[in-house]
Amino acid sequence: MTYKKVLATAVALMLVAALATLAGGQGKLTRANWAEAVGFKPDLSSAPAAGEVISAANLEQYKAFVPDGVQKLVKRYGFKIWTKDYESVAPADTYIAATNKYMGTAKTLDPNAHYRKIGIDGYKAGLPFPKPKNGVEVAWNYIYSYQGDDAKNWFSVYWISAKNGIERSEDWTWNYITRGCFRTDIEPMPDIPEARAKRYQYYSVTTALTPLDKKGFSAMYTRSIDPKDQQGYIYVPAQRKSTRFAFGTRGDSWNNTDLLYEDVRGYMGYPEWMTWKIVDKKTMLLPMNAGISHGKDVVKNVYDFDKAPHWNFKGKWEPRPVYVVEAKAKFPDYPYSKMVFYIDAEMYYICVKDAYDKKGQLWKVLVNAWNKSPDPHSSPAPVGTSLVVDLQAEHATAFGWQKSLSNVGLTPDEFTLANLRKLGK
Amino acid sequence: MRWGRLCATALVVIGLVPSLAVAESGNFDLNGYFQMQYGLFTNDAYHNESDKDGFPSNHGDRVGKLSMARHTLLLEADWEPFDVVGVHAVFRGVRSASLRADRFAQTPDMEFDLKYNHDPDVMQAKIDATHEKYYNENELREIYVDIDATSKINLRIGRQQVSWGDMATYRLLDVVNPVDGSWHLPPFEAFEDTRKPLYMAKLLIDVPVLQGNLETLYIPLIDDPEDTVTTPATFYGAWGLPVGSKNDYISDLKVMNKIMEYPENDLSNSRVGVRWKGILGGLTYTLVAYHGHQLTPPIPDYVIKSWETDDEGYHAADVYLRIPRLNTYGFSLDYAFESPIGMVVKLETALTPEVQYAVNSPLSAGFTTDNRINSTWEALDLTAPAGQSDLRAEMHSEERHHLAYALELFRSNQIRFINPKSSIITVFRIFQDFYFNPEDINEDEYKLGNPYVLETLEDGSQERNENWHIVYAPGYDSTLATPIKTTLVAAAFTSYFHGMFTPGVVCAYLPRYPAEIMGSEDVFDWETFENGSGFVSTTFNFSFGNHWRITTGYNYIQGADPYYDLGFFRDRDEAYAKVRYQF
Repeated sequence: MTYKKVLATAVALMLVAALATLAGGQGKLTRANWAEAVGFKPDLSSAPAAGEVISAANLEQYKAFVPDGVQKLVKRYGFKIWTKDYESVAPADTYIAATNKYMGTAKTLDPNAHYRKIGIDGYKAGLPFPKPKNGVEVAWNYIYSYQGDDAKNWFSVYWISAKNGIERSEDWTWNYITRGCFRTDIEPMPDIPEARAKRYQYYSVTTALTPLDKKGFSAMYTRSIDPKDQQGYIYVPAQRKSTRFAFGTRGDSWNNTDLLYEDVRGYMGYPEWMTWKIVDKKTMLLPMNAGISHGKDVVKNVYDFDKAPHWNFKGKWEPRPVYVVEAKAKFPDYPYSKMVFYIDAEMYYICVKDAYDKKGQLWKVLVNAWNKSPDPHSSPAPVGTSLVVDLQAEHATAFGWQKSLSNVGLTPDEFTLANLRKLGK
Repeated sequence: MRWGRLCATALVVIGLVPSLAVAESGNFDLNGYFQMQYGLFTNDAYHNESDKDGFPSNHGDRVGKLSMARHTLLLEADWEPFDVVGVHAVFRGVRSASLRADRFAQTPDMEFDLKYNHDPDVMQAKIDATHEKYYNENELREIYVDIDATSKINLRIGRQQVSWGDMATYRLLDVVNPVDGSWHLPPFEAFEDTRKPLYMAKLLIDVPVLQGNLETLYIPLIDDPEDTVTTPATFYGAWGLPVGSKNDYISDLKVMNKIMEYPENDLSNSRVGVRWKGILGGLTYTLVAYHGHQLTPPIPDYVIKSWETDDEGYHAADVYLRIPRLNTYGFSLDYAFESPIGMVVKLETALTPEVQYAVNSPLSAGFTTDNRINSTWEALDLTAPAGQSDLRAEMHSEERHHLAYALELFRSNQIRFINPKSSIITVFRIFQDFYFNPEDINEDEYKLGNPYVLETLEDGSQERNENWHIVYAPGYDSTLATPIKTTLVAAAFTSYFHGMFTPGVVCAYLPRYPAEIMGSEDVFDWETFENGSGFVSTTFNFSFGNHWRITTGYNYIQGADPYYDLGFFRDRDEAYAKVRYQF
């Protein structure tokens, strides 16, 4: 009799626990279950074995795993893909906790609404849409993917011609607050009061360090939570002036590179500006955990600057769960007829982007390679390198990262006109 | 010998580039460039003509003659001994070729020509004097210490440039540093190169809670006095204001020296200024107040003439020019409209009460009956025998309240059939100057007259209103200007080949105020535009690698009147090239 009571109690408790789990939707997200809980499990059964090097010679065999644009790089320019084993990646504990805390609060609004009308409601912090149901939700997951709350970066830019090699280079710093609102890592949380009051999501200042004719040039801008154009100022050393600048032009290249302003990080626009569609959901090779060394002195080890096309870089690619998402602009003057994003389904980073011209021809391929986080529990994965290739012009821009620090405690006070003036000479 | 030294220095510097690159590590950074800049006059309308008195009526030089040949070595060093302390220094060494176009330069310490006999020796002396005084330079242009007292307070002490105002090419509120345009017309050069840095203490206080910052300046004026004001454009030749015709010199004086009474190195001459720059909603605004000097034009103060006359009956005379105090008050606003408008609109205004302008001074000849003093002249030595004392006369100037505004529309455009890859920046600006309080002028005082202004009297007849003697062109004290001045500027530039090729064009036009219709509401008519002046400046910048920068271009200048606005320079069209090696 006693045993029966104990058994019945145990069964009852187990049932309660099971019901509680069900009541919680997908259950509590943890570092261990993050990968599957927010995206899907990669199918590794036919994926290239670790150590395989995919080149033009064996591309056909692994074609299904390689993004279209990268296939072009492999076939036309001898780009090689060094493969490694899959390793799941999860954001910092704080971001996971925020995702759990605000699970289910975010909702997308009418995705066909005017591009100036905000397209999300109820978002607080963390990943807004674990297991996204459509392209817009994937886009929002990318927008609010875990980047830490701020960062300082030092990087080099290389303009590269397929025929002639490096044309010129510049060194820059880039400091930004990724999360003015919806913060997870640094107090004040969830919002910096000033940012909340102004509805600022993002503060950024970039400063050129070399060469001399660019030294001291700075651009400072803010992005709103609302789908507005960026607002900002530039400091022009030759004039010793900071002056307001229009950052809203569609298709404006960043600093005469192959990268448009909207291409920064893969996509720097707003989800509201595009219509989004998931075109595939599968396992593909992407440069996550890419193991690319940082430093101005080692960039020549990362990029093969000497050999045509002079922009191929050496980094690790691994089988990843990938959402292939297509985006088309809602406004007519956008330079791309469509963009296809290859978005990692665990971190929601854009690792590869194919951009098509107005005639529907593949125009540019953008690759963002991400390294492992120096401390997965508290900081984001830093970018290893970025490469944009203009297939039509046979020209590329490579971004070699010298140093990256996250969650350093930047405040809006560091993004003022006075500081912009101080950055210049 | 100088050329030899310069070339040797350049070679040494270029040879040292690898080691300089090493110096860029750590907290010390050394950069610089060596630059060669050449220009050739191209106006085939120039015929070296003179008027009946021998005064040059053409300016500039023949086609193919040098408009400039300037070689610059610039070294820029930055050192941060501590996190909160930085030191910045800029050295500039310049060697330029002497120019034949300077043969009529009105250098301040040379005898003024009253008849141009085109004596080769005299012309060569002017060429040499201009070359010696303006074209060569060895200067520590900037040397300052930056101290971040706190994260919100920055103190910069030393020789520096400060740029206020938001208009790139028009210096309404950019009143702190004077300008040296002796080697090229300033609109064709970067302000950074033409500004004269000054020693000053600049305090920058960031006030985030008010979304703004306060910048205060104290300029003790310890620089070389000559560097504290804009170099008078009447003093140099190839790019200076041209000598007028003999009709402008109805006088028995022969000016031997123009003596500048620069503000002395005295605390009482200190300049101070304050600027607030803030953000209010979507607007950026600035408020400026500055107590300084009138950087240009210098005002003729008095003249001292010898009692003796030369063989032609002229008295040798020295003219003293002063730099009056000037206060400037102003504000600016800017706003960025979102796309599809995608435009930045800027407005800037400056009020300068009591600006002084030189006017013609009717100095009577001879002495009064007591041989001592008349209404114009005062004997300097009352003990001298009658008629044998040097004489002094005060020269005339006028005060005006001056209000200026500038409106700028700035847009970045995607015009894919012109440039499929990069945006095309377009800028349109309108500037207007207004001069007030003409009623304060004594109508009987100035009689040399303005040929452009007619005034309708009560009886319906017209006569010249001779009170509008405002000198618009800086330093050119025989030029008359009008109570309203308008300048229109349009500019466009873009880049191709990923920034390797950057063409640009700037057009400026100054419609002439139709004096004949003063008082009419119909101020801007077609004649206004036909009689105006302007320039078209094209630039083609090439960037090769990290080191080589080449700029070529053409400057076309036109004006209906050779002695008005940009018409002064209408025969100085030029093609130019600039080659820079930077490191």
